[in-house]
Amino acid sequence: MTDVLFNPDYLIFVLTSATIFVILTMALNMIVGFIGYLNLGHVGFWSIGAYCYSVLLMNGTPFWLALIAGGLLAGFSGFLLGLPTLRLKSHYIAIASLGFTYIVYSLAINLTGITRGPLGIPGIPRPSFWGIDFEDKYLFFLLCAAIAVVSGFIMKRVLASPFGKILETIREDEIASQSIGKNTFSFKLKAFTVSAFFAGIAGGLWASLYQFISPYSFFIPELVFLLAALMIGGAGSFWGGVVGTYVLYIIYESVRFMPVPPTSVGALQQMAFALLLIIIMIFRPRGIMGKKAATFHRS
Amino acid sequence: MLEILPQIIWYSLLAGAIYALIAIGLTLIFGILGFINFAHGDMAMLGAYLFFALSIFLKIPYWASFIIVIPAAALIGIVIEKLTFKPVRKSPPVTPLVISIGVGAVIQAIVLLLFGAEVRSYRQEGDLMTQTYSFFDNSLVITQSQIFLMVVTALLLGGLHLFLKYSKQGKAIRAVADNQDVASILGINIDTTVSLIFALGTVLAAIGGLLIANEQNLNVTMGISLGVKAFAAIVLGGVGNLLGAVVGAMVIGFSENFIVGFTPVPANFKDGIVFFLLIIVLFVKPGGILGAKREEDVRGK
Repeated sequence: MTDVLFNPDYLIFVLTSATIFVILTMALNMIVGFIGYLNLGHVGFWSIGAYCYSVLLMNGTPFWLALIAGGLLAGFSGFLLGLPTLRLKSHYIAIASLGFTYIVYSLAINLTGITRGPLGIPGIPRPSFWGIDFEDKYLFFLLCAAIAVVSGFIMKRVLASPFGKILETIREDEIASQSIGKNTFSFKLKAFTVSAFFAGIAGGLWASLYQFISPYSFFIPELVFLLAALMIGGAGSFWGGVVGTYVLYIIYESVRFMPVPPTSVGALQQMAFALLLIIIMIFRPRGIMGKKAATFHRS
Repeated sequence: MLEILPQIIWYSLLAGAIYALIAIGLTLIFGILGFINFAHGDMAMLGAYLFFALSIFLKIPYWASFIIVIPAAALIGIVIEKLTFKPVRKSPPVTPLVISIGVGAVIQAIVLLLFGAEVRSYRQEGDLMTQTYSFFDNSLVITQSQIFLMVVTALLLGGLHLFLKYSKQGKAIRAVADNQDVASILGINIDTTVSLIFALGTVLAAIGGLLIANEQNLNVTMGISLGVKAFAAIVLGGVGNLLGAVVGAMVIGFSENFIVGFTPVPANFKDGIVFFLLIIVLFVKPGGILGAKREEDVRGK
């Protein structure tokens, strides 16, 4: 038991996974926390980024180019999804964006020529550039951490800028925001695109970490996990997504060490984070780090 | 092409009937509480598994199992409502929506723990339910279970209509949906009415799930697919509109089966098509095809 727990391979793998996931949560926070729209399409952007990156990388594209291309394709799909849906009200956006996740999932299963369908893409390599081979787990962790820090820095700057403040005015009172001459739709669309871009970047790193992706890697359980991470940390607070992700990873991984048969670990993990999501939404909708934002709080 | 038409129409009607049963509960809950219950499809899955446990594990006869599922589903619906949705009734609608996503995941995890991940089925060959009837030189084959599905759905939808229109509780439900504050001033108990809605919606979804599981296999994720089609149905028909939910369900049943039957689109792309249509409808005509709801209710002001 304890030798598994203190196994550096296992620990560094989980830490890397969580660090990549932080990019995803921070990006989702821009939409859910700051604009106040429940975007359930984030898993779809993540999936698009991962597939684009994997296909390009395995056909000989350099790492950085493949990673950025994955982000750009995800960002573009975010733009395409945002265009018809961002004028709708919050719960319609939730349905439409859940539909988007479904469409991406169906495409990943059916476009067998690109994605190999349900078989998934195995053997995705870790990157190697500037004479450094990131096959090494510590170096790969450092690379992911560096990208996460840079992404986080960019998102923090964006959210702290006047642009980010306008996003918050949309959450608090969209009409007031429009009345001072802000084209809120255009701001929402830009934020959606940026958020999807970073989800795509996270997808690329994720594919290289797990070295295998399939349509089932990016679906409803992952979506619930993502929402739970954000809500536990606190949507609307920049650090909320970060804290929530690490807290949820610790809880998620500790289920593994409970005295239960290995076949039920997956179900128990899902039960743990879903129950946590319900409890936090009932008793502390603003999460651990959240400020008293109107979006999730009792009026 | 033409020789498969009767069969495709029949499959479309069957699919539409099931989506209608699930969509009605969703639209009732939305009409009163103003949030979309993402766990609703999982109630259908739960109904199918309950029936499976009763009739296969406990060997209770078909009819008795069917009847036991009804109060069990009602109870589950009420318990979930009291535990998870009642505490946040005054919160913004995003809160119960996120909770319902969590509730769905918990239900799936519980079913996974109890029944395992393997695909199950309660079809037994030689059973009365698998008896088939053919029409038009075998171009239309109908099984006994499909007839049962249609009859039960028609009875439930007709009964619901009469219940909402003429009974005291039904009128209370409509009154609360129309204006909660006025209804409570007039002495209608809001808590009881909301519980009633959840019981009703869960029973309809559970019956829908157990009926469709006669036609296909049971698996833990079946509820997600059923639920999302029910969302699509209520959006197509105009959210909060009961007739719209039924019409929307039929539109989805027909469009997915016709597209898969007559175009080269692969069958497992069905869900993708439904959502693609949904996003287009939301963009072009956000009030739904019946257009009963005003556009401002759907789009931001």
